[in-house]
Amino acid sequence: MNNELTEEQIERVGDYIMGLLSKEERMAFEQQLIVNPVLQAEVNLQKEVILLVEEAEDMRLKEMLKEVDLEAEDKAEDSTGGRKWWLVAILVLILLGIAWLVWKGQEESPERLYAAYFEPYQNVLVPTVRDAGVPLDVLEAFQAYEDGNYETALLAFNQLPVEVQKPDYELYEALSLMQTNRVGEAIRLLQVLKNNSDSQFREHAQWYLALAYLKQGNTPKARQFLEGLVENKSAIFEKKARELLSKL
Amino acid sequence: METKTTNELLQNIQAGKDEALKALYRQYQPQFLIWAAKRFDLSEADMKDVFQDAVIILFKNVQSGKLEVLTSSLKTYLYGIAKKLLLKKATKQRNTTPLEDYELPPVEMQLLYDFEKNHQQHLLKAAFEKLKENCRQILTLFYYKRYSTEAIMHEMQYSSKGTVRSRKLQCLKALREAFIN
Repeated sequence: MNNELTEEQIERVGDYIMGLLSKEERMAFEQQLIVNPVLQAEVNLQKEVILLVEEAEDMRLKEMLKEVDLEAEDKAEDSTGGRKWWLVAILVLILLGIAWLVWKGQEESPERLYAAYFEPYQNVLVPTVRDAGVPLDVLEAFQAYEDGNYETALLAFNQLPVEVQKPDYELYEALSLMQTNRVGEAIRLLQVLKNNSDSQFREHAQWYLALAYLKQGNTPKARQFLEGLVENKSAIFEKKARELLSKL
Repeated sequence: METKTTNELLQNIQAGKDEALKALYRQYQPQFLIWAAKRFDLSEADMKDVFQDAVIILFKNVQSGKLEVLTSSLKTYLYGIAKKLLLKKATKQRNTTPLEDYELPPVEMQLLYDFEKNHQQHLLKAAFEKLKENCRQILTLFYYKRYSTEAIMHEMQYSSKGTVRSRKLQCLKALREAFIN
């Protein structure tokens, strides 16, 4: 038997699998098929070709429909294109607004200014070396203050006997109160100190009052005390007060 | 008016016109997506994918004469296929065995893509993809669109039926070599 199929046979295979043969032709063909494996292989091949062209066609159609979707999306995008620009513009404005607020906040937040300007006033009253002239209680209080142990300092200040109390100690007590976040109490003490004509710390009291009010977020009150310092040309605080005022 | 255009659409589907497939898709897709979104927890991309397959299946069934659709039942039949495909996809995503009820009828099963190809089929496919465009066209017209040799001659503007035949044989030869090796 010949291993090669004739062109006619190959064509007949095509007609057979596509159902184009008459009943007689088909039966004759199937008789040959049983005895001819080469013919059988050709039938298998051409059946595969049917699947291949079908698959290729399916893919082509699928791509075509995806294209339809893409076109529809493009159209939808075009029609909302104008609105989109507005949305972008509005978004940019909102972001700018937020950025401005954050910047403003950084510049002017009373809390931040307080943190930037507040520093506990140095101990200029009591030398914390053992000295015959200074009672031990007072020494302890100021030692704690210098060490930054404000709770301990407060406790010590509170327990000072009346006879060793001096009005100027109140500045350090008030600053200890501010350091331990008891701003209200600190303000009361500072007010007293500010009005005490015997005190050498009246300007200090004003300065720290301004800062205490800043910490409370009360900018108008803070401004009031700072302006007082500027008006009175405070030797120690005028410059600082001007600077701080400019940032409020 | 509506009936007339739908009739025309059906005729164009039967004639296998690409435009008919697109029209079918455009006309029925939006409603289908709304319907499906309410009932299936699938992404829009998945639902579009399913509907594309459904439209293609209907298109091919009508075209090949495997299915005779009346104008009135075009939409019903299309949604029927799409629904079955959706169920199939949803079931697959839930990773459970498909329910017996939702098995597709043989005709539709045959038309679903078959991704499980053996090695020989891969070779054949590669060879098919390497064929010249006019080879693929002639094979598509004969084996898929079922054109007669004469119709192919006209479609592809060959001078004689003999040219069509010898061209077809040449194209098959290239595939046969890949198939045998």
